[in-house]
Amino acid sequence: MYNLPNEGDLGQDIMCYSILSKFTLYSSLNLWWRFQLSLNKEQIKYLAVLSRMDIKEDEIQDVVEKLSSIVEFVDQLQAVTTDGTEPMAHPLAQGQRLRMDEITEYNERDKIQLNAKNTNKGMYLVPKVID
Amino acid sequence: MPTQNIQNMTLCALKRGMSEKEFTSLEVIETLLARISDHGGSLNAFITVTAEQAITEAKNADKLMAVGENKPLLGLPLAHKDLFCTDGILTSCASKMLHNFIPPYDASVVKNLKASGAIMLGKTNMDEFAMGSSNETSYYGSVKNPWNLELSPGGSSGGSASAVAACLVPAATGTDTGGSIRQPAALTGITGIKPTYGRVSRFGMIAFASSLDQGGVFARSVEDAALLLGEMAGFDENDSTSVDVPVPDYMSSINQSIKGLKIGLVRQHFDAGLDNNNAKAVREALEVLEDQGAEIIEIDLPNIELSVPTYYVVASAECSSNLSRYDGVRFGYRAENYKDLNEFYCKTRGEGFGAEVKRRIMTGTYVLSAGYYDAYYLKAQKVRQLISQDFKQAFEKVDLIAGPTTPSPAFALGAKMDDPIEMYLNDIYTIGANLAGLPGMSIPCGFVNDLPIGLQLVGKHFDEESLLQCGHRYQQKTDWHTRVPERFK
Repeated sequence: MYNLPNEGDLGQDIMCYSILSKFTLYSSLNLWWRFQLSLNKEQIKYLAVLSRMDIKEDEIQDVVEKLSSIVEFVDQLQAVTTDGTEPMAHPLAQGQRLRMDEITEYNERDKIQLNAKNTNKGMYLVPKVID
Repeated sequence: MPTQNIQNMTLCALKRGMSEKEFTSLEVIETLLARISDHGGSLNAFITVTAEQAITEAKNADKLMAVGENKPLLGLPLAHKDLFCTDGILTSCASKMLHNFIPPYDASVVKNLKASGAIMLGKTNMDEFAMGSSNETSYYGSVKNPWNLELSPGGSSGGSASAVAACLVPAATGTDTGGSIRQPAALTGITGIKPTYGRVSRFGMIAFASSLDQGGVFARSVEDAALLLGEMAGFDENDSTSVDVPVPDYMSSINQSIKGLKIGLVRQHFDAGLDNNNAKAVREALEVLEDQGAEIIEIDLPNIELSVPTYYVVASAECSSNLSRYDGVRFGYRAENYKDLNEFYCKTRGEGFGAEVKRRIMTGTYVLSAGYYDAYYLKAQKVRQLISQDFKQAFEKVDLIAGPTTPSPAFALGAKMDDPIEMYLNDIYTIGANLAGLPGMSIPCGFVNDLPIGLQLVGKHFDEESLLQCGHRYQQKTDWHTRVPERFK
């Protein structure tokens, strides 16, 4: 049905999980999504939660249809043989350029904070997080 | 008084005119600002017009010219896509999310062009966060195609293309993630170049898909594109993906002969999907190049049809990551009524992003989610490698690859908005160059149903010179690039 991928194939987010939770994740999500390419309302709502983005009730059906057609479209990649092919993350196959950890910028806090709606004494204000 | 002709002049012609004292920079700027005010509204090409600042700069430029100052772009007008940060000037990315964002700095591209003496007339409309191929996803409304106001100018850099095609400004910057310079250039009958990934700094260019985004230019001739590209390109330590390769003097090599240049014609580009008349015009364009001594060789890019699905996985994944920065806290749109921090984020993002941006963020979230990373994202990165290798092999046989820029001429506004896949397929010929990081250029090569179409040239990494030489040679022998839409003459 599906194979548990090798450690090296896994994304960093997945690597944080234990083997058990990894297995649980794969079995639930793969069975849930992989064999039904069209997404349903609940899945769209879940993706909206993961994306921290409200989707209005009257927008959902349109998102379901369009996102399903996109997922169906990109699914053609599954049929391509890519055994032994290195994934390509950078078009020029370059490594990350590093520099010395030296101060190169001067403080422009006040200018930068002109764009913020709510600040106080140089700090950004957000709704209360901890009681 | 030559001011009637100023609007139709290329940057190079304006430069000559100013140095020969036929007119001043102020006259040029005022002529164009008047045109923008007359026609800008019907095209919706600009989000912001910086008239006052432009006039001050023009007066300054005239003073400098009077004392013999000779910067390469001194006193010359241009516009910037509203995705390049401009110090103290609204940079909205055509999104409600950034409708109030005033950057505290200039993008490196803006800075470089300013240092060369160029004068900005304004910021151009675009698809929201550069996500779109028709300029219909802008928070500020669609841009119109100057050849027919019912049609789309293409996207995402549609405002820049429309403004240049309608002679509101001789040149403008753009960005190209999957074809966003080349496709609108083709659909509006102008020249557009997307350089090699890493050639132009992305610092201050609002990110969409960081491994694909690249800044470039629109102009009404290849020669102008060469002039501007030479000034904006170059290594930038502020962009970690900028590449430290010297920028050649494009203007001095542009007249080089193309005798013996090997040009690859991709068999797969002429499969079903390409408009017959479009195909005919492209073949005729290649005959012109053949007459100039180029050798046309048929080649294969066997995986090129996979470029669109690959792109929509990679670009969406990178977009979902890049756009996570818009949280309403530090800048941009901020929702008003919320109970807690989570609702604050969800409302801000739900209200601040438009429908297409939300779809791409969710597609990206989906392909990166646990359990789907391998199946979609990693798979797409491997297919990207295959596509890139195809190009590499092709470039062992040829110096350049030529073909159509788009499958057909401009389409009606609204025609593809209900079908994202049909919209995405408009970029089928352009996306490959982004995936492989190669330079690409579109030049006008004819008309189909009275609408302009483009010839695309794709080169080897960092070989913009061959593209420019080939394109310039073509424009010496044809006049497609000099055509102007009737109502904007």
